[in-house]
Amino acid sequence: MTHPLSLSLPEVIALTDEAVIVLDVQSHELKFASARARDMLDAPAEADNTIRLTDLLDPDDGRLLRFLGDAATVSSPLIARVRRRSDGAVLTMKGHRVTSAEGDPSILIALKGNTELSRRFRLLAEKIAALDGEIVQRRAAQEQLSQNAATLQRMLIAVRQMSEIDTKDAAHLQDALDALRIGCQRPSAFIIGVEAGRLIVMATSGALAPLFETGSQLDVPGGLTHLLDLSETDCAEALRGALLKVARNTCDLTGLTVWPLHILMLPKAFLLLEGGIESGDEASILVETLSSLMSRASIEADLRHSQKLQAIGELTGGIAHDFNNILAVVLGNAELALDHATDPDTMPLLAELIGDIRDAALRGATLTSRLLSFARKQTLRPEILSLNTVLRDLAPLLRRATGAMIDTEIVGAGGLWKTRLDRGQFETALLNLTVNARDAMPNGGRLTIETANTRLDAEYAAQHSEVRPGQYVMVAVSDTGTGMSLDVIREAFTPFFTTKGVGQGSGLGLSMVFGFVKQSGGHVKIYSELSHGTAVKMYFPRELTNDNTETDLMAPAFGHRSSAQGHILLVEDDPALLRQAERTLRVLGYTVDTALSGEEAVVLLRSTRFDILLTDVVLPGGINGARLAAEARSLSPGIKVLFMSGYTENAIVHHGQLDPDVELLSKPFTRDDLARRLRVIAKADQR
Amino acid sequence: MKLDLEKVEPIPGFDKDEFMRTLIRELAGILEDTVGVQEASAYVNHVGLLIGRALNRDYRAACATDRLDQEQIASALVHLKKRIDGGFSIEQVDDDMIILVNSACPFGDKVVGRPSLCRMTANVFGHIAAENMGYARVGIKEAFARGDTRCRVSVSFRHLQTEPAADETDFFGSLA
Repeated sequence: MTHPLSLSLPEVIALTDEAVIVLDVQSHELKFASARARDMLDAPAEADNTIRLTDLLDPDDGRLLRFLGDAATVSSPLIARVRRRSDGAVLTMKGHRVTSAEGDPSILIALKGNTELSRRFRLLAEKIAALDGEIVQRRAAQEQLSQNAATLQRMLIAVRQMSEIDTKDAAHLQDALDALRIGCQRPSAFIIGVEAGRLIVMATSGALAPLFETGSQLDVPGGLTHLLDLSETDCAEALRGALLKVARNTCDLTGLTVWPLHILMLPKAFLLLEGGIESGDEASILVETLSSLMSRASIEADLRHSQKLQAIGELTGGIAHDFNNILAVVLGNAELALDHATDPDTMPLLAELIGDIRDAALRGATLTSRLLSFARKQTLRPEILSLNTVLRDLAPLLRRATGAMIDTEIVGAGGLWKTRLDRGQFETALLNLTVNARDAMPNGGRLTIETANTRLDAEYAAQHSEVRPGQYVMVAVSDTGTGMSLDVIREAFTPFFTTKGVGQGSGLGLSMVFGFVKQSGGHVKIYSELSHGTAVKMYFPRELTNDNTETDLMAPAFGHRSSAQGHILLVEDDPALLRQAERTLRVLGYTVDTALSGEEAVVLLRSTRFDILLTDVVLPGGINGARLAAEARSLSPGIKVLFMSGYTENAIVHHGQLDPDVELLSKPFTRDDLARRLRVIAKADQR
Repeated sequence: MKLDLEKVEPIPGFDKDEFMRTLIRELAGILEDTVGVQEASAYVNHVGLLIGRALNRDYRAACATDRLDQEQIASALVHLKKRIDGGFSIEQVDDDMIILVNSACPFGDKVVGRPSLCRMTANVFGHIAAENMGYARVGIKEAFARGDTRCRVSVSFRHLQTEPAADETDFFGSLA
């Protein structure tokens, strides 16, 4: 049902609040614009009607004008999407031609804001685009992450390799440069630095390395100081030019980048890397590591030098002190001798003075001899000897040296192997040890000197780098003196180190023993416990020439592994030794429980049945080895007991620490020693 | 057993033409359902006008003239619809009007229920006619899309001062 109505556009708009505009078809000026349309177009106030639609909308590459042209030709609406000029907001514009009552054509346009649907489509499209962008970004990030991880791994390897380099090694700089170059994947690398005032090629690595000789001097006017004043580019150019002059062949150095190396905070060298600087961060970290290494090398070299100077100083001081004493005696007595030289009545006195001079000269000679011994440059006259024979001959002298307050026992093992050494030096070494033992027992005590055949196995040799595994003749000097602390033991062989008062010891006794034993191909070891005593053991290689003694006695009784059975309680206060012995026992096939003290051991003995108690003689706390053994026999009748000690069996018994009939294993023992002794006591009735 | 689809009667699926018609019908349907028939018609108006412009250029070139006369316009419209399987025939041609009737819609049965597609015909015809005659009023009096048994399209060249009816659209020659 339609009836012709004559309604003005503003009347309709006032009711509907639509965004409607009427345009001139030619000029596109706004003939009418509803309030909502003006609002949507960001148009000026209503009074200004001369504004054109094309001023308010984006021309959109001519599409707007084409749309308006098309809309002017048709009375049915066309539709298009347009953008607001002020902010680019999207509007939907529907328009067609209308003709006024007077016949004038216009374009009637209805505007709509972004419809919900298109807004959703656009949001969806934007989200999809954003997701696409994020996927691209994530892929890029993942790729970058993978590259970073690989780079990091390379760098870690390089840094670790550089940190493990021994700076004492002459090739340490070369090794470091190789690691650095591989770490940052550069084809070639150089270290340029100053040595003895000359700017030189200190190290080269990579493809260009064969063209340059390490140590080549570089001709750069002003040297390092001048280079440090230059900009990075000029410095690189100066070094490139200098390197080209010393290259064995023509080469291209245009790709070199320069990094200053700070040694102990000061720039003292340059690292030159071939290749771009795109991976500058990783290179800078490796450059820092190289700088640290060079700083460390510098500090360690300085330290070694200062230690050397200190040692020389100590040596010089010690020698000067001793020689001054000797010279004082020589000089004083010589002057006295000169005073009495013309007086025939003073001949006896003169003889005495000259005797003192001779003694002083002999002391000087002894000092020189000891120094040479320590330096292992003493002229030795080795001969094949039985040390039992030497001991027997020396026994009176040794007993005299120890004095009446000390009970001395000398025990020579039966069937002792021969050894080859300088008898005189051996006697001096033994005398030195005896005197040391005597001095450690000012209030008397017991001294045991004994010999034994022994074998130092590969395991022991592995723990003592200077020892070669094999058969040895052992001479042990044990005392019940004051003992030594670990610090004193560590320094005992150092020349001029002494715990004795001024004038009482030269500090060369043990260092002479050390030098002599080493020069004889042997090994020396100190066991000591404060307030208990000290045992010094010298091992000399067995001499097989013309030695008819049975050798089978010391042949390994067991293989490396055994199927031994039994439950052993191992008691030892030294944790490292405890672990080592425990491992050995397990290898031999025993079940092992361990304790660090007698008290711990007693607790175990109360709860567990053991076949064998293997215990150190000296233990901390109130329960020593002997008491522990008694406790064990009480708690577990039939248990077998084997003692261990750094002292020899004779020394232990002689010093009254154990009964004479006990089983004792002397440290250090080999695995074979331990296996043999355990097997023997397992088979025997417990005494 | 392997099935030879080429030998199955009737042949399943679409040929190229059926595929394109179906595609356009479905697009028009979604557009009508989404923005409404009026808005969809406005979109199709715009498309039809652009196609009409291109076809006008072609037919002028084919007739070697820069302005088609009424006979040429009627022939062009019939030829066009025939080429696209429209099946139009001229019912009337005189100085004032051309009336064409159609026994088959170019969109076939795909047009049924999609009245916005009729705007394609109206705009193509109207634009070609107005560009050459200065003015045209196109009325679609009957349409398959509206459920009629045929299409009947009138193209009037006489510029009436009356408002076009609901099924009519006025077209004017471009101002350029």
